[in-house]
Amino acid sequence: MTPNERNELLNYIYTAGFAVDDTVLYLDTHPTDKVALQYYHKYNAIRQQAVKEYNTYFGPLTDESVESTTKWTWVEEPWPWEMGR
Amino acid sequence: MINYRTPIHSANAMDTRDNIILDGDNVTLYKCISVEDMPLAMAYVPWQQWKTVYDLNKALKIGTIFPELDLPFCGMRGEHA
Repeated sequence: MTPNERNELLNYIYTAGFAVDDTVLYLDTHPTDKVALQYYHKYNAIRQQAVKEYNTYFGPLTDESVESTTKWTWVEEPWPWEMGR
Repeated sequence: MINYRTPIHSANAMDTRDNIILDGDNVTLYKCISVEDMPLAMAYVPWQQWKTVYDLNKALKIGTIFPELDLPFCGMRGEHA
């Protein structure tokens, strides 16, 4: 996968994540709204799948995604200020 | 006290119109009272209902998935140029 694909995937995680976060705010005041719940589950699943793909191809997106028990793989990934290079 | 979402069975206001609010499995008939009949000094927030939402990219740019909340705050629109 290329840096372009990395950015594309990251961008997708951001956009889906934003939609999920905004839906969470709505659900806080409308906890039995079925359409909103469906929307939440749809885009939360999409976001989780995208994060999973990111972890597979580019390393841990967050420290919680570090799976290795022999190496802290988090530091192998670019720091946020290195992402544009 | 009568407020914006006072259910019909306890509302007792003049000049009301009925609204059906679909809230999951519960269908509730609310009596919405007009602004003139609302008590003074109270703050009222209209109850939001789920409608069509923006696509993912537009929502992130604008800052909300809800078109009805895409409002010109501070005299400027939130959308990037």
